Amino acid sequence: MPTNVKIIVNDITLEAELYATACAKAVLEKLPLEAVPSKWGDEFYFEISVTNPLDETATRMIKIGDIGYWPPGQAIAIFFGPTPLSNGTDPVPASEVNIVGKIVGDATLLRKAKGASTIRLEKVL
Amino acid sequence: MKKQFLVVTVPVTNLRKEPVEASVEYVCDDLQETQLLYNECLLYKDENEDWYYVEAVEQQKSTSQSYPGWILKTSAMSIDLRPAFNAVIKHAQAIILKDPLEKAESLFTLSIGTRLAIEDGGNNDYYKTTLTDGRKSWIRKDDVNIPAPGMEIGSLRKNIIETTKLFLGMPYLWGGRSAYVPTAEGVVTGVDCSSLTNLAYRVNWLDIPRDAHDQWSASTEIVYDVLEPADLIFVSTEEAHDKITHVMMYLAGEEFIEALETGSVVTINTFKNKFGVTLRDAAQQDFIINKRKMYFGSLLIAGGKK
Repeated sequence: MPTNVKIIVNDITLEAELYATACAKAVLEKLPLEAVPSKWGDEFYFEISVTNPLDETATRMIKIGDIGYWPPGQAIAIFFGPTPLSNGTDPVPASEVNIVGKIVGDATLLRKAKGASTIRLEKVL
Repeated sequence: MKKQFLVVTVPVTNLRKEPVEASVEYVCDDLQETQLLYNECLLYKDENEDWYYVEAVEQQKSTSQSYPGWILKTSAMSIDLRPAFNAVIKHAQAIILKDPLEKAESLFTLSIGTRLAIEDGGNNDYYKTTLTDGRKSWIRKDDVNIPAPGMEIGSLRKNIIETTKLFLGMPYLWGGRSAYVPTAEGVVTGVDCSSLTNLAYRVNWLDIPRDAHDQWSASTEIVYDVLEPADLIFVSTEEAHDKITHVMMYLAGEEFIEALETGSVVTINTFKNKFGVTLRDAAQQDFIINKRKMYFGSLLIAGGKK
């Protein structure tokens, strides 16, 4: 069963859910989390102190709104549009990521938050 | 059905179109698909007596398709969990050591682009790594690249160029994707045009497609006068200007680096020397030179095709 979380960047708050995989649960245990996001095309990513290998969800086939975990950099990636490796509208990560959740609603709103200095993930109580 | 993965257990091995061993000479072999490096993950599809039929999941044709082919069973083993690689060899070769000492016994040598799962191990100069057979070993910290999330794009471009220059003088090998390693017994090493760019990006934690045409498909098309270091130059066939068969990495000014053809080595070249015209003059010809069309692409900026 997914767990509801919130993603807060500047004045934008988006609802999201984290799945019930081991990797997603490890991410959930680290919430609330505040980080400085880096941007790569329409993707925010930031480090999280979770160590998890690629799992059965590992893929490069990403949809806008997906939330991924990138094992090499121990980072969360939030996809809201094309990245430099995209050849269409779908995001393409630097390499495979585990899919740990998705944004419920319009993830493209994050385009308005480019340049944000902090991103916050928290559980919905 | 649960996916079954394999991992490569030798420094370099060949991925073959048919279950037939490769030549040990520098020839253009149509059965050669690509090469696989130690620790590279493979998706199991089928097998016969001596060979596995696999997909090289770290070498994409597109986001949904990887390179299929045959690999000798002696080159791979089954794994239950995919390892969490967090380091990649950044020098042409790196030695895996039995102990964290300068004069320690060398276990084997690995090629640039090989990924490893490392731990700190409490030593200032060496990381601990676990081999595919479970043995603990060590590698010099200076030999590996650790992901650096948030790296500024100018630094990333510089690093990709520095990596690419490490290949200068290495032999061209059709379907090759490795640097020379003395312990790669019976396997010829080298790079072709697209594995040169593929490995240079891989060392810097960007998995770009394996083939020139697929690299072009994944690129954002750019105009020649905004080319920056580490952008790519693509060349079509004479017959079809939408079919890309060669890729080169742009350095600066009129210079690029390429792995051209069997019998050559990786070199720095100029537009004038290769095509007989400067980049600016090529623009006057709509980049059609000797019936081939040239395109420019970036895998470091978003935007797609026009």
